[in-house]
Amino acid sequence: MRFLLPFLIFSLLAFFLWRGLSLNNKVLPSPLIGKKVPHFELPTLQNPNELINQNIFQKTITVLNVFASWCVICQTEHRFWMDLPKGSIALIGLNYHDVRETVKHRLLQTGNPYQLILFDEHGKLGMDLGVYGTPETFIIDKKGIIRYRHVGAVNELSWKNELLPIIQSLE
Amino acid sequence: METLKPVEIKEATNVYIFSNSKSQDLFTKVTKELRCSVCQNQSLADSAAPLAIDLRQAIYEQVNRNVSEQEIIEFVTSRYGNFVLYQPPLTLQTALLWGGPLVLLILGCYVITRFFQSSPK
Repeated sequence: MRFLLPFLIFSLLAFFLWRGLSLNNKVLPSPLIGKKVPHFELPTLQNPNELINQNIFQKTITVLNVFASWCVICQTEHRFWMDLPKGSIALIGLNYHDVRETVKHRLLQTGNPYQLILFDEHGKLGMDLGVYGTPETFIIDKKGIIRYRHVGAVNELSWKNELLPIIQSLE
Repeated sequence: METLKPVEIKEATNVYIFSNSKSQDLFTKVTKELRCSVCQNQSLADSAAPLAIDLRQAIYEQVNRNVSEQEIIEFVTSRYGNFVLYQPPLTLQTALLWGGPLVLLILGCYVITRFFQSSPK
């Protein structure tokens, strides 16, 4: 008993301190998982008069990628999206807090991997989706329900190990 | 992961005008109670992160529309999660957080009593 109790307390403390080392509080869980995509009405990047609403997230599994031209990591991620075989997934872009002409110009230079880009000039949909940094990627199922959120750039590894298995499980 | 362009930080100096002191107090209270998800060691009131500016603006608009404190907090937590609360609600996940100190206190008392009981006079 004399040694057991201090040992137990020590183990408990060590366990929590050890756990703390691997906690990543930069990646926050999203309270929107399992919920429908919030209502929105946004123009596309290409056409300010073409308004799109949440009904676009129906019938197919969609990957929604939040990006911006001022975001440096998004440019690294952009290369990954470009390398994905075209048409293998429905990739929709959410251009967050940006300047229309700047993004259009950038995409002309580097290519456009998106089937459609929503232009969220004031970050309204971004806020409704709980976006707190870019890039962020959401997986939305056929019923328009958000199933997964990835914070940070998607790369081949996270695509293969994290996102693709979820997309496949939703098929 | 990246935060918004620094150009927008100038908006941190936004001046908020309130029609009455009650809504001003509510605005101050709510923005101090909520934590910024970008600069996690700052409250929404303190942070100059663009997201905090956006959220302050949204809260400001709601305060002026006489939205209640609870509804404003729910507006933020339904998007950014309980993480933004400095006082998270008592749930199964946070039980250890709330009960932990009490458990430690009891454990501490027990250890001290044992210690004094067993030490030779």
